[in-house]
Amino acid sequence: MEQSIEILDSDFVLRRIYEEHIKNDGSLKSNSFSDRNDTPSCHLQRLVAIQTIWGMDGVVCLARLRVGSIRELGLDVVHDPTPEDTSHCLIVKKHSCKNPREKKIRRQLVSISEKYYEANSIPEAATS
Amino acid sequence: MPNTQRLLIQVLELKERQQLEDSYPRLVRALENIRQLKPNWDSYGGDPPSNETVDYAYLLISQLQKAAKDRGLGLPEPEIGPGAKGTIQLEWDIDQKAFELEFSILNNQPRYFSLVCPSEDDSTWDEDSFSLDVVGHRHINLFLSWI
Repeated sequence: MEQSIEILDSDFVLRRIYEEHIKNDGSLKSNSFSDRNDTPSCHLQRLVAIQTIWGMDGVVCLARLRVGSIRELGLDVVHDPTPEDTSHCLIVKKHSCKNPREKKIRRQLVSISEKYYEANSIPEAATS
Repeated sequence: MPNTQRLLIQVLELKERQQLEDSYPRLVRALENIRQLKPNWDSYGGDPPSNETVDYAYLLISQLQKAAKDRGLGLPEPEIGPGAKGTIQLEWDIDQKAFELEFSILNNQPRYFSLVCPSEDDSTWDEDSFSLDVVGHRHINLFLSWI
């Protein structure tokens, strides 16, 4: 089993974006962060090879989010490595909430996302 | 879902569908693309919307268009997209306000329906879930008052 690592505020995570997530004007729809379990998956940038993500079928863009900004929304990022993807993380709620406003959360995540349409345009991740 | 609503979905006239294609060709193309989605369409395990859900989207947009027309208004074209739980989402952003309708239907039963109507003041976010038969009144009227 992979060991979880500490995720810092200064870290960045990446979310794969598909054509169905992009508005006519090029901005992101809130369904970009729609998730079956309401814990959107993402990659910890410092642990992932960007080219691997770009090589996945249908990926048209990557959304890049600073972990500190996610935490300021009352959310957290936890490392959830899988055998296939050691960079795998989940965006989770910090506190259990009886009636979380999922759509509000998704829109807030969109608002703090930077979009990258080319792999080589993504700034390098800081290494801790 | 009430029988009347189910019937409405089944008998959505070709004429109405054609009207939607004339008014919103991009949206109709997007809906038909959504109809073709396969399981795991987003590579995160997302469920594709059912055919019934896609059909309901046509009906809902058609009803909204009529409701707007009755008020002498045009319905702005929504952004449309699938959600990860087999839902379809309609999204309007108008004058820094946003309105979203998200729904899915499986075996003629509504599974999920929610909306959010934030204003510029973040404290006024309004988000809830509804059964499909009660949609259309307070929130739809609020939406129509924006356009």
